[in-house]
Amino acid sequence: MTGRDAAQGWWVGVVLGSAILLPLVYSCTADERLAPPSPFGTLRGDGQAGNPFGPPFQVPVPATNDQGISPVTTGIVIPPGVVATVTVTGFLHYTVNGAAVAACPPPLPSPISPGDLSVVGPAGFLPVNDPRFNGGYRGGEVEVYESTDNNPPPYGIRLQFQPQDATAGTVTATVTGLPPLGRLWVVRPPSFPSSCGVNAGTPNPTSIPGFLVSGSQTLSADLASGGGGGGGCAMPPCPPPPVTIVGTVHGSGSVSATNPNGSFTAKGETLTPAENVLKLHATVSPPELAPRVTWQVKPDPQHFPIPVLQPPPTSGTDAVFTVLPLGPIRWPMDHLTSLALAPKQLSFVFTASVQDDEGQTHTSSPVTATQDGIDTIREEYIEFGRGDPVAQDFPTRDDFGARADPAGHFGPDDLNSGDYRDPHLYWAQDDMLDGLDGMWDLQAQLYATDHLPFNGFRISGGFRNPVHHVFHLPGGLDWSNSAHQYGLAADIRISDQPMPPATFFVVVEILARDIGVNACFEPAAVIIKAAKTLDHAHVDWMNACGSNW
Amino acid sequence: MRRTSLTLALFALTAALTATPAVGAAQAPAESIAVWTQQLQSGTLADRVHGMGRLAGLNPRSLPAATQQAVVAELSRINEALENNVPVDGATALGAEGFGEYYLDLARTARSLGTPEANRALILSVGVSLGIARRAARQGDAAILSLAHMIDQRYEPQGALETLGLAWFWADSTGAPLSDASRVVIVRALFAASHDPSPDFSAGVGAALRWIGDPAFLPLAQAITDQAQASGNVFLGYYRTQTLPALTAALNKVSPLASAIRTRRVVGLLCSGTVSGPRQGACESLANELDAAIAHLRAGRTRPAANVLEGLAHRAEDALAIGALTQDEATLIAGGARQVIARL
Repeated sequence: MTGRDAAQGWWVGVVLGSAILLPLVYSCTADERLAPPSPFGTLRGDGQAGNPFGPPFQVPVPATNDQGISPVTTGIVIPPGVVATVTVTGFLHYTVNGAAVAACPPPLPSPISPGDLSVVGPAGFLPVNDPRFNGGYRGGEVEVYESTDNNPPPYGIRLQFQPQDATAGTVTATVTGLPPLGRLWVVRPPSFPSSCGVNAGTPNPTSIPGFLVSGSQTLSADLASGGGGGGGCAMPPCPPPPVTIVGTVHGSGSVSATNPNGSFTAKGETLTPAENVLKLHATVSPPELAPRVTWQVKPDPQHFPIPVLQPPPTSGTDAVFTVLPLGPIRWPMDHLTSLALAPKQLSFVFTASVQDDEGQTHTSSPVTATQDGIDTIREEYIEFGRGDPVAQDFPTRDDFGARADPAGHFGPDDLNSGDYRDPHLYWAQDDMLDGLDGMWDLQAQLYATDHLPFNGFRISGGFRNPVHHVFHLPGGLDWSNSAHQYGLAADIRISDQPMPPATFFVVVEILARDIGVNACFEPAAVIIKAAKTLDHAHVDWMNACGSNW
Repeated sequence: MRRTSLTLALFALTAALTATPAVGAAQAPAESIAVWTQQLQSGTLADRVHGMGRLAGLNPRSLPAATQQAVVAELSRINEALENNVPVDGATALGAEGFGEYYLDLARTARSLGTPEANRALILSVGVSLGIARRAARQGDAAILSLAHMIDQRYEPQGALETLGLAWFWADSTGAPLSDASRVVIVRALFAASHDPSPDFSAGVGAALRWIGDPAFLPLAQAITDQAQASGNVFLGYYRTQTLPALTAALNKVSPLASAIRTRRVVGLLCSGTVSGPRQGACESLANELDAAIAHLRAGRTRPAANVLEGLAHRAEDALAIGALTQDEATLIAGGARQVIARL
């Protein structure tokens, strides 16, 4: 994240994160300050360029075009303050899936891929002017994040690889080790949407991916030239930098307090502290230039291109940038497209600038603030007007995760029917989990008395994020205040029991109405009025569903 | 100056992108509520779903009176269409998910309102939850005929039957009024449902008897349990694990005298309106003998009471044999007498 412009003779650097202090490294000066020695002891080749921090890491390759890779640690750890060069090499090959062609005769799968590429490097598919993908599509790239602990999701600082060229077989980025340790993680979003839909309109629609993926990609980290713990000056004598400027940005309030990722949302009105304020800080040398500092914000091409619509940050060394809520129409109307996280995330790239007495402008390296997955899903509640404090509290970060029910009957694949599946991010509230377990136990009791074979019941629809609920359901736009959006509802399959579906529907009804379960239930007449047949049973635990008189 | 202009332009662009205001956004809430209310009152079904979905995210009791009335009116409109099997324009296009969620938005909001008008509208929504069924049951006589009509129309009979049982229990346990005419409707509905093999009737009568709280109905519950065992009814487990234990517990909570008085009340209800013929004779005899048994019990004369009750049970069976009583009536009366004897 730091770099040195030898021609101009000044250092520019940026740091993301509230607790990060980047030592300024001035070499070959009388009051020379060096980076602290590595707490990991002497590194192999410490202070010398080109030595690895660990064995090369084989980046997982998705089997198909619609699959991504969940966060996975590379095993590579960069010591604090050490600057490393990270390199990813290798190509992925995309071939048409014969099974998709067999199920959906030509012209499916179509289009072939963004830009009609079949061999793509680590930069993945880049937005190209391709109307078949709504003018552009980004996916399949190797994303590398640096975190300060061992806990996924690791969406902290994201490495900025170059070149951003889909045909390049090698891309590189620099990274500075964060204290207490800088662990590198790899994530890969799905490549692009292309599939053959089967059984559309039935309770069990499936899709066959259009492409199979093969290939190999390797990630390695090496000590950057001239950087890191050695602190040497490559070509003495080095003139001292006349001006330095270092920008930092961090989320305020609960984001920085609870989230190590420096993430944020546009929620500001009812949360204390607000989550929509990003605090920017610049360190300038000499300090008398501080009042002249200005800030620029640009869209992050890796993510949703919205920053140009935001008001600019204030000026000065301590500035503020306020994130404004957008609206529903920016979100993907298509479920498969919506599976990719990166295009939905809000992300801002900031740079700080200062003009010296000679009229020269000095600019910091860019620093990026990006919503992580949890805040991206929470952003949906803001922009869709869900989560009124009276009816349903605005969800906290802790509400989302891959949570199973205490009894172990239902896992993430059962409970999560939304767009955030890799990794699983969904909301499952205690009232629902306890209620479902209560229904399970009661069903077991009834079946035992009736001498019926008992295998429990299955959930056919669980959590739905607002975008998925409003845009992606088969019936079209659905603006209802569904309990599915709050982790409080489940659709139950009725066709897999030792009795007719209509009979099991009634069994579910008596289970739902039992004391201790206290669920709301969609009456049969309501479902039949719209669907002409009973195809599922719906239970939920929204407010006003209790059993009190 | 340039920054100010840029800022204004950026805000304008942001507003243009924002099709729906976020919660708490700088927009007059009353205006939005007014729009949503208008959609609910006169829009297409898709419009109504949108308006109701937004209103359902607000505190129902903070809604303007006109909005509250619109919610109740729309719930009633949908309920009547469902009960009378009249098409609802747009429901099919909306799909089961969308229409079902819309219905729940209406019912939940109405329940939170708690106004007399909302409570009345909720009677036809007793299929949604036990809580709504209890809200309807508290209304006593005002709800009974509507519930009976639902059962006749085979519209959510499970919830309607369960609510009848709850209404009986609410009146008995709180002293709230419930007329004999309503009680007769309840008993007749339970009798009819106990012979209907469809799942929702089987479940409904089991749930009604589970909640009714009156041990006089334990013989009927035992009879439908025996019938379920013989016929392989899948709700046998429910009867055994929920219905019978609930009524047995109710029986164990009362004295033999109180149990006899409960059966006497049932005899009076069954015989109400009977003015001639063998049925009238049977009814008079049964009532008189039960009164005599109750007098013995009050005086602590258990042996004479048991003798009278045994005779009463035989008389009920004789009345069944000559067609003066139905099977269900005889079951309740004879069974009621014998369960008192068993506890003397």
